Amino acid sequence: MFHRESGYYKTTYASDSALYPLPIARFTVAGFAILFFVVAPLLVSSYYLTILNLVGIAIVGALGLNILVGLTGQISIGHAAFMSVGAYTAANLATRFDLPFWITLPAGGLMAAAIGIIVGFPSVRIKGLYLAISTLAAQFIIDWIIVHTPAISGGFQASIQVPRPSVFGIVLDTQRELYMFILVTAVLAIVIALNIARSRIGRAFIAIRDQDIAAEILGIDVRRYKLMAFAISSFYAGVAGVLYTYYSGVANNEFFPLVVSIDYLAMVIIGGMGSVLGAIFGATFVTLLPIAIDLFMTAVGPYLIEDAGALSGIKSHMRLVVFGGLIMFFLVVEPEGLNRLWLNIRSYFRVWPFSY
Amino acid sequence: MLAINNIEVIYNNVVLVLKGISIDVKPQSITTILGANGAGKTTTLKSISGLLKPERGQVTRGSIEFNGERIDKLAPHETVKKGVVQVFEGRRVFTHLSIEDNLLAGAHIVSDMKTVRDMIDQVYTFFPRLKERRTGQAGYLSGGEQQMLAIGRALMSNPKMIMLDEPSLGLAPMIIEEIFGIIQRMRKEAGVTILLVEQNANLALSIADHGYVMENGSIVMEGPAKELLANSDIQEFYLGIGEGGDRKSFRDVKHYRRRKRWLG
Amino acid sequence: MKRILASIAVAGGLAAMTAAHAGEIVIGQMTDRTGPTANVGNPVGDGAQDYIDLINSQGGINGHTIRLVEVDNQYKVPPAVEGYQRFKSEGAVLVGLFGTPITQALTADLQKDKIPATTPGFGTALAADGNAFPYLFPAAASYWSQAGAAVEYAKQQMGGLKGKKIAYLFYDNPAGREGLPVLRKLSELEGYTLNEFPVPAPGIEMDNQARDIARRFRADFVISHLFGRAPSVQINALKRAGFPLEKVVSFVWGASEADVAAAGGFEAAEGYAGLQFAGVGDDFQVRRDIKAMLKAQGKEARESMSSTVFYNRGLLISALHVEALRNAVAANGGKADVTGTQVRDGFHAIKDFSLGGLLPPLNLGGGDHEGGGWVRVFKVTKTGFEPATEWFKGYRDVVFELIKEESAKMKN
Repeated sequence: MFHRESGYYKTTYASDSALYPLPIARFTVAGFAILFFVVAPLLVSSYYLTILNLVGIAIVGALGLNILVGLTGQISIGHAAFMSVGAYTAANLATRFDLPFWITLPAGGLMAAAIGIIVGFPSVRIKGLYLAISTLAAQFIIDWIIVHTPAISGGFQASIQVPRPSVFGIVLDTQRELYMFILVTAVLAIVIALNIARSRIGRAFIAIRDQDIAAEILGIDVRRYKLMAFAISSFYAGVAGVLYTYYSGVANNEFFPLVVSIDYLAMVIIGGMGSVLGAIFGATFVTLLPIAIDLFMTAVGPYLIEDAGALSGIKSHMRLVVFGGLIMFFLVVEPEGLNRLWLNIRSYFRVWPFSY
Repeated sequence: MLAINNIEVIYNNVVLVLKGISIDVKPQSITTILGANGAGKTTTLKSISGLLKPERGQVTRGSIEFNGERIDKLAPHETVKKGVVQVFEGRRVFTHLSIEDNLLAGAHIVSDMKTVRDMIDQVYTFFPRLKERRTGQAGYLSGGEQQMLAIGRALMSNPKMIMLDEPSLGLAPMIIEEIFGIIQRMRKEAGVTILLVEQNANLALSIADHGYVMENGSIVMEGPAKELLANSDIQEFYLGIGEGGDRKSFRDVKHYRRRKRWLG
Repeated sequence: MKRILASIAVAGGLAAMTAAHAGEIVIGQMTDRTGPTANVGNPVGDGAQDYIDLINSQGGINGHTIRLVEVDNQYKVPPAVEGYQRFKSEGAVLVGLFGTPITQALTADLQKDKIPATTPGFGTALAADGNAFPYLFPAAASYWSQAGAAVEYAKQQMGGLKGKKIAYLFYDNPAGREGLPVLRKLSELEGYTLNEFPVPAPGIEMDNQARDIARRFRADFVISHLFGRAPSVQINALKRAGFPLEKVVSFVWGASEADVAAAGGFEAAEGYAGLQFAGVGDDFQVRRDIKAMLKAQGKEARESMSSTVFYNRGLLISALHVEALRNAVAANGGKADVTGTQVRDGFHAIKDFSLGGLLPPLNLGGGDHEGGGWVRVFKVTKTGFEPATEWFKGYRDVVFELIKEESAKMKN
């Protein structure tokens, strides 16, 4: 990830398909593992762990949408609805049947995947903006069905209190304890996404995105793979929804409005379509930036504006302006997203200080 | 090997595009279909590979058989499994994948990794230029290299027959010659049957065994490539050579159009 | 990932700069200044802030200043959960919540951290039961109490309910549907016919419902529970359908100055009535005090002060917070280092608190965290809102019985 050799030296297929092309990449990964698994939970305050938890959940969701939008080229603005499906599935299983998280987590994902396949059917016939509109409809239909079916939503309030997950009898009911739970899930999600992207399935997805007709006459069953992309993407969304439910201790349809779908789309676009690292960058950026701006304004604001009341009003709106402005800035500087920006920086340093 | 029996193709339930076409392709031959723009050559290929449906077309009469099996009702990916693969006009490589990943995508229906590697090596022996640039993005290749990649990618599905749609389109004469040389080698070394659609009649007939001439959705002439090359009408209308062997002026060609014998 | 680390480093530095000082009491206040309900969030946030400034300018609580940490949650849950953790890291002993989903998401954490929170107008009606939710203080009429009060108001207006037809026009979301159990139960008890008219999101088209209410169902009275742009749309739709606005009463989120303005002004909406849990208008001592304070600081009165319905609710929120803190500080021997539990007991000690008539006489002790479920009806006249009733409660016994039943169900 951070290091590259100076030329191309591979002579066997095995070395070519290795996940870590260089030994040093292994060390980098190990370094990150120690940082996030050992250092962070020990040293970081519970407030910042909360933020990391949010980032972790967003990464899972964004990875899913990236598979659909970035890899396969199918637009969806109904991602939040699948999160909602996952959330309610897990909530019902956990409260009615007392099932542990290692069942509810995949079950939420699978249910979302099943619904995702149904919602994905129009993609067989339509593309682009037309598909976007049909997934938009799915967002509203799913929301409506959940709210109006007491058997799913748990009554007129459409919210279900969910007990926090427990591991070996320890209930994970603080953000610090949940951190490990979310981290492990997010890491698994990243590893699986990396492997999907570089496998036969991933190539088929990209082939469909780049040239769907050419893909078809190479023997790729476009219909099947489009539905598969919807299923995998919804599975990720469902899992993110379950994480969300455990994170907040309640499943509620108001957690997953259309705005959330748009947020996830923004993550994928800002991060760089079609790249796993990009989805991670995008999720991190979109989650952290508003918080960072807010903290910055809170710290610096009082020196600029004395009136505390006026400040809180200005602060909130400034956050939106700065957030929007930065997104535009990054996209203008590099339309292919943060991932490309990162690659550019890396290749600059690869030959540094000798350019060319 | 491939037998098209009197097919009709209709678009949008209204427009009759192919009006009863029969084509016969012998195993390990190079067969070429010639014709002007809009004659129905590409539609013929699409009806073989099963791509009419997305364009709202359908085969309404006749049959297409490949090694004795009907393939005119199959979806495109099923046709590929039968061993028939098409290379599009205008190449259409997956621009964001590396060259090797493009080839791997072409091998989608082959599940055995060893076979896939053997085939990649085979493609590299046909197209050594691709090997040099195997990790580069396909979008950065030149036009000729992209055409090579498209052909190589089609080879990866281990086909019995490849259909090439105007491989010479928009390429420099030297590259065209190179590609046509490779097409002949593919037939000889990999034993693939080739169905070639071309506007460059001279070149196509020079490597083909058998040729068909299409106009307005019908076959107007067929025969061994050598005979077609010698045919005076072909010479006049497709090769631009007058009866005396001199080049005709454009004005005279127009004049002769009215005298096409097969229309009479 | 470097980005994460960098942000953490920056943010960590910032948090260190704002940690709690001694002799200072921290309140965490959530608002929604930029989300879908920003038209409510801004005046409420300003009101809450101004009241704290006022108290601080008068010497604070027993000499201790109050610091209000405000987080804009955008009516979204993730920023709210993050904001709550920020409150905790800043040492907040009391939290003002904003938004029903947010209340639900934080209920369990508040209970575990023993930090009391106020949720006026949000959250589940069940939170009124102080035994079931010891750290939640709705402190204002819940939707169930509002439903009871609305039926009571209809009864007074029509002189009895037997054989009458009441239409419930509601936004078709969980909050909108929350009024239903009480209305259904009361229709059995009082013998009126209830017909339900859901309005699907986004609620900007209501002519069909209005026509049905006026012509087909021929309602005698309309109780409406709408949000956002929907209340103003409703006023015009009912007028077009020929239904008199005098026979309409809205829940608390459907009758503000903004709604009236969007419906075409006070003249156009004349007769329309709405329930309120805080007083409406400018004629209150506390508002005069705030204006005087701002003037003394050389500032203009805020624009949001003219949105009296919401601004006054902001005042209510902070006034309750300050009263609870006052009681807690007194119980703590006058020192500032009060705990969440002490503040909770401070809420329980609030007795007949009315802030010069801006609030109903609130009592938050005795297990009723809703403080009785008081409301007051304000009617639209040509010049502004006028009170149409005194503070009153409706069918408190029925509502509380329902609450008890539902909490019992939840425990099982």
